[in-house]
Amino acid sequence: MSERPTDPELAAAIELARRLSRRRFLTRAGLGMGAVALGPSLLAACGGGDGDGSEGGSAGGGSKKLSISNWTAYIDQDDSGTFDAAGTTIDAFQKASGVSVTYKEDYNDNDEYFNKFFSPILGKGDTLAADIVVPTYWMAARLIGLDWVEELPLDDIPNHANLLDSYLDLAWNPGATKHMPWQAGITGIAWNPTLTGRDLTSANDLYDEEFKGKVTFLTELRDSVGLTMFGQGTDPAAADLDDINAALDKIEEAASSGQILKFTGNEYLRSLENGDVAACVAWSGDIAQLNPDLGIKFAIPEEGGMQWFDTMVVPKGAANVAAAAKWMDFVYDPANAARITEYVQYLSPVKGVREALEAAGGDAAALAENPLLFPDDATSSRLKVFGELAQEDEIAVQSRFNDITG
Amino acid sequence: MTASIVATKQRRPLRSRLLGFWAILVYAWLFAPIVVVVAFSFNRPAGKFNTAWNEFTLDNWADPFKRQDLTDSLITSLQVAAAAAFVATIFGGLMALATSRYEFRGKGFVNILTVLPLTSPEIVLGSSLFTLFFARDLGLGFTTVVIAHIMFCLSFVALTVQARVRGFDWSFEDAAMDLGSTPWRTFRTVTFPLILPGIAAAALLSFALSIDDYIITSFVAGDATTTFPMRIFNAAKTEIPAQVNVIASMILLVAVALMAIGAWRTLKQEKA
Amino acid sequence: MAAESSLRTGRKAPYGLLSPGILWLILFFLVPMGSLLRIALSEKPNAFLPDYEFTWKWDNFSNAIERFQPELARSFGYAAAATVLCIIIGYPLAYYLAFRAGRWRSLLLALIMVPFFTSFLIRTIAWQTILGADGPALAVMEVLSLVPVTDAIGLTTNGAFLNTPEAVIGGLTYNFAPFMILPIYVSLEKIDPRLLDAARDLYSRPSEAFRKIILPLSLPGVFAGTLLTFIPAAGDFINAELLGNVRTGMIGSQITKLFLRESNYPEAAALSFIFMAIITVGVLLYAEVLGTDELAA
Repeated sequence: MSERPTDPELAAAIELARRLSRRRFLTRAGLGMGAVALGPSLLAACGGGDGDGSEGGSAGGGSKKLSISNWTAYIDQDDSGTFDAAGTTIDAFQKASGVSVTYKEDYNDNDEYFNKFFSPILGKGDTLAADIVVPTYWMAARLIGLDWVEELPLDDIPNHANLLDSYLDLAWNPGATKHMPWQAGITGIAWNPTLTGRDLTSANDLYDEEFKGKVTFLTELRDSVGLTMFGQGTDPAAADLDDINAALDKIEEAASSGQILKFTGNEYLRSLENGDVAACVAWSGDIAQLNPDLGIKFAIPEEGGMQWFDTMVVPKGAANVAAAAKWMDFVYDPANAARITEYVQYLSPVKGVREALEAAGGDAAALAENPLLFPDDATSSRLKVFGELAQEDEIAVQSRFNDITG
Repeated sequence: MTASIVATKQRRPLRSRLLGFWAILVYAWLFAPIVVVVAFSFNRPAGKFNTAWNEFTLDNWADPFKRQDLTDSLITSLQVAAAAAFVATIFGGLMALATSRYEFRGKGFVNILTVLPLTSPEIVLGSSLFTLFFARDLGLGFTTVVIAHIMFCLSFVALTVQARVRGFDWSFEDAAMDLGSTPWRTFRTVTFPLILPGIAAAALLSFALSIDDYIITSFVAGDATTTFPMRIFNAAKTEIPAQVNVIASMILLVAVALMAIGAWRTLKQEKA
Repeated sequence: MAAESSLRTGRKAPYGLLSPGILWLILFFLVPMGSLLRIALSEKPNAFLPDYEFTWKWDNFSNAIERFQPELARSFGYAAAATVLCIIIGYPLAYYLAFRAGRWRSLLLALIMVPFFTSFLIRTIAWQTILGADGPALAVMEVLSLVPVTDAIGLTTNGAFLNTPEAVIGGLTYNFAPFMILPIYVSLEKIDPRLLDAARDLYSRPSEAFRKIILPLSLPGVFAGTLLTFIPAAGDFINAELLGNVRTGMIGSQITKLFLRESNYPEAAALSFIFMAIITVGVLLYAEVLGTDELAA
């Protein structure tokens, strides 16, 4: 079962907490917030409307409570896993808006959530408990296609304007009217130099017989197949069925020959740490969080890497759409977005985050220079998002991939 | 004759010793992972997973309940297990008594129905229950988890007690009743003490099964209830904090303490 | 035996004793199974919508068998191996506890259960540590320079204990050992000591006494233990996921995949029933072979 790469952030917490004491971290975040407070509020004011701190918020029951279902460790929290400890984003939001938040980290796998909750509940026209869920982009595309999500009240989300332009022209939702990205990430290759003896540069290195039985791939189809397609010279963004099947052929052959040890979700990190695995397909944020002493390296293959993002949607019939809008507006304020990214260490979809981090100085500023969080144009051009598939094709491909992954 | 007695006496100690040696090996094997779990509770992990030794630290034990989510899930698990074990032992014990004590119409059906849940993969039990609760619009949560756990513990209890009670010489009961005891008193003073070891074993088994269950629970718990295995399984793919080892060690300590008390009392009884 | 003659017949009492348990099983086992069977014979016209049409689609069953033959065979193979290992490991221990342990018996018995008061996930993760590339098992083998030997006999693959079929079988054996040890112990302990003395007087060799008296009397325990070990082991997939590799997948993960990743409930349900059917047939055959009608469930 595949997991989403949101977890490593917890490691970020451990790491960060070790370097900065909790108080220093929260103070820094607070300072960072204060330092750029002017910018966002100006932006909000320009966006018009009521902007920030709602006073008692009329509009009845839709704006006093909010329930969010997200991946693990995808938001800043204190050492004991409390989400609304003083100084966290949720705490700041609750104070600023008067909305009481229930934040649950129960979104573990797109397909699992779809089959346990989306399909049986939304498919029958009932409503989910959560007001905001954060599926991966392709699942969001599916939900939007099935018309199982609410249209976002953009008038109430002035900070929507802070969304990076690249997200505004996606075929399945131009203008991002029904979703707002949470965090993005990069899929590339990771390896242990002590075990491989050399640096890896290409997705095809994973198929090198030298590493037989010491390689893992991800159970996330778009990542494993996408990288393989890059290695074969085809374009994952085009999602041509023949190319996909050719990639699947290659993966199938490698799996049955023993080249690929297993297909994993996030647990590949453990195998990397323990030396059971020499090289694997990996997610950028995970590796950024690893203890540098372990010496694990990450790179985007020279042919290209996969880009993905997780995005917030409001399931159809959600009770608290107004509160959800307030939340989305809040986290798209660069100061808040910066706080989240500093903890989570993935790519923020919000404009102005890099500047906010630089302004905060110290460790945060170091993150601003991290190419995995803020890739330059040359790198960005090598990243592709896996193309969209028709429903029957998607099911057929997923089914074949499931048979291969065992 | 004398020769064979001598021969037997010489052979028996060797066999005994081999058996004893084997027992030691088996216990070592049974406890090997436990040693690792406890040892690693004193580890400060280098990475996100507490599975490679890094350095010794007492910090984890100083703050074992640091992770609120872990602690909450543990409490939930204990509550579920207590409830499920209690009910399953009673219902299952009664069933075992009935099937081994009486002949009646439908006994074959009862026997088959008792064993069938054991032949079903947990995923099937879980998903079929999910469909049942969902179709009836019953909220998934603590209650549905307990219901599910009672269901799969019933069979284990019935089988365990049956194995103990089969071939039992029931004439004890008849003798007691011939002597004028009422059926209830007979049960209380004659039957129950005799089958108590089987019942106790079954209760223990139910508790352990319930605490450990992941698959069925994950289907019927809904999004509000999280048990300890669920929390570990979900988190284990992404991070294993040392607190997991600490809590596991604490559970072990409690279990060992209970065993020790039980053993001490048994020894005391045998002396008396 | 005296037991048979004292079985009571024709009284209402058993139904009272039975009813809570049986009702529970009917409500929360049979009824859901029924709806699952219905789904197994249904079709899902749209993969994303939870609508099922009951169309007597027996194809689901044949498709499932065809597609998952390797995993089915593998699951039963691994489970059988684990069960045999459990018997080999557990029987001598049960014998020791029943006949040699004396006053320490209850303590030692309880000690068997102690490790199993931790989550099996934690235990299996601990095995990952023990068998891993940096772990003690491999370290010992390397110190003794035995790795080429273990590679040759297949105990390790490419110099690794972990992520191999052997590791999976080892994990299965470990996790289900008490389910074998305890029932065997229970049936051994029940043996009347006077029978043992009689046996020792009758037979000149202790191994004959064992073979002719003790072993047959312990068979109910072995049978119960086999049931409690083999069946869950065949359906288990956590061990395979944590300790195995891509070629050690068991049927449980396939069913999970069909349910959770492919939204293919009908085929998942069909596969589940096929799996259960094979097990039931196997169990009945096994009971036949062991021969006593006491064992027939």
